[in-house]
Amino acid sequence: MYNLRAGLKNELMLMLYRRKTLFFFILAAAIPILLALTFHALQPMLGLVAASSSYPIQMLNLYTIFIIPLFLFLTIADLFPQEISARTLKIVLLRPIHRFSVYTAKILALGITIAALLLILAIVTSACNAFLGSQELGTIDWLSYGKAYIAAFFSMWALSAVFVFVAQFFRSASGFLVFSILLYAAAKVTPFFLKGFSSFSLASYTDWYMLWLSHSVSAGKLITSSLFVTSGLILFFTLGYILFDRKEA
Amino acid sequence: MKKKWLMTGGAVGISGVIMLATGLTAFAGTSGYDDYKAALKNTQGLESVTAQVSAVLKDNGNLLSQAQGSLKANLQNEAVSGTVKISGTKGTESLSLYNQTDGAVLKSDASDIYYVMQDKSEQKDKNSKSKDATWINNEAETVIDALVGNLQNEVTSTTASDGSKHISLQLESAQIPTVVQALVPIAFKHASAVEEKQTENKQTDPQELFHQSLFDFKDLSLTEGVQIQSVSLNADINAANELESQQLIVTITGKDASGTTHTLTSNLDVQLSGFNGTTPDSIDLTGKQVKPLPMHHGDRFHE
Repeated sequence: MYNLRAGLKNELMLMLYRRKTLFFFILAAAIPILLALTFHALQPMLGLVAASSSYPIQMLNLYTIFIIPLFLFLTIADLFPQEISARTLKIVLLRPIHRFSVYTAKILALGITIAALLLILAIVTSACNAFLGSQELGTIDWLSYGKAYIAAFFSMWALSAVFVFVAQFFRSASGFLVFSILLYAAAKVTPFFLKGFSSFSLASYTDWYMLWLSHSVSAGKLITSSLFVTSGLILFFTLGYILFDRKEA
Repeated sequence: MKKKWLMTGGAVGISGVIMLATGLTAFAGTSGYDDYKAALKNTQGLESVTAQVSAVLKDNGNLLSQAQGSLKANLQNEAVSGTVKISGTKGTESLSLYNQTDGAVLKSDASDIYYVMQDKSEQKDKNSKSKDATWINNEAETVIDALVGNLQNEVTSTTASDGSKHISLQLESAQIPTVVQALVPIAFKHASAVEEKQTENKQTDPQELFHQSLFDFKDLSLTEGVQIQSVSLNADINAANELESQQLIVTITGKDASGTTHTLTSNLDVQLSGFNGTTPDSIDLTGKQVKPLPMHHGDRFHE
């Protein structure tokens, strides 16, 4: 247990020292503010609501489709292939720490950064709504928005599991990055050609949080989709671990 | 070593099976969305039908415009007959309309003149209609399904003991796709611009009257904070998988130029009956006052 905590601390410190993590966090906070200001400035022309009460959810849509997956690819590239090509993984593995702890620490660090990104998004967008939105057009429904954000967290973590698994096949960060972006784009486009594909693809669950906003979706649907996301999370993390465990650094 | 393999193997096996099973449930499970789609397709394949249509537009609870129509349609030869009554802030207008082999006939109840529209676009329409007969072909259906995405799950369906189904969809502003939400204010802008253009050239033929009494868009030109508040769709499907009634309610909120908040509610109600047992009425124009209707009105929609 102590091993795991030390490993997790190590991974989080590493992430913080990387400039791109900081850059992404600043970007994540800046995009909603910039968009809200743009809409606010364009309001006389477009008549849009600058930051309505649904602004946190509208932004979540943008984040779960583009920004968080992109961040995940970059971070996973740093966590796995980059460590192999820079030969730093060897150093970690030489420490008196079990490989399982090393792997789990990386996964947990991923989860924590996703949660942090979503938290920043939630705070910034509700602040935008408070300052730029008009309160008379409805208020934020904290409970269902909270549920949606938690659901978004799990779908993003499950998506990251798929790419952690994919990363085990790569020894260079750039190769993994290009391949994962293409794979993700393909997974997003395939439902337009292939009926039924989306039922089996975790990439189609990026807007899964929508179900948690609704009052009409049946409990059975919520349970089966939750089971799908959780089992996908476990399956791909375990598959990734099997490969990671056999890897020679 | 053995224990580790048991652990990882077990985790992979169990989670893999659960993932496959839940994926299959999602794949095979028919949602209300599928029920509705099947009924729509089935209803489109009908030969003839009678439709009672009613549309109501309210602003902050005050009636702005109301339209009631009763149409008999034969989808095979495209003969249509019916009456439409429109009442709005500018008065009431009643129209009878017939679409038969020699063209479309319009008659206002206020006058005895029959306006005949014998446009060439009729031929064009027919071609496009026959393409529409296969309305959603398979590829388009897959694309639509993918676009609708997870919203599919929002459509609920309850089946009664006699096999009829009730479909319902309730969406609130946060659940409506951002793209749709962004298009609403633009649509408003466009609609009020068109309206301004129309009121300039005063015409007295029924189509113009139709447009004028239907909408006075200046009354409700929302300029600020326009957004869809809620969308609700209710439909009843009978045991023969035909759509019997559909009701669509859309609520839009926004502010006008003076800063007053408006809540616009539009309610569209469509009741279908007489499946495959409807014969549209036809009208004999001999001995009646007939006026040809200028063509450009039909073209306006293509602008």
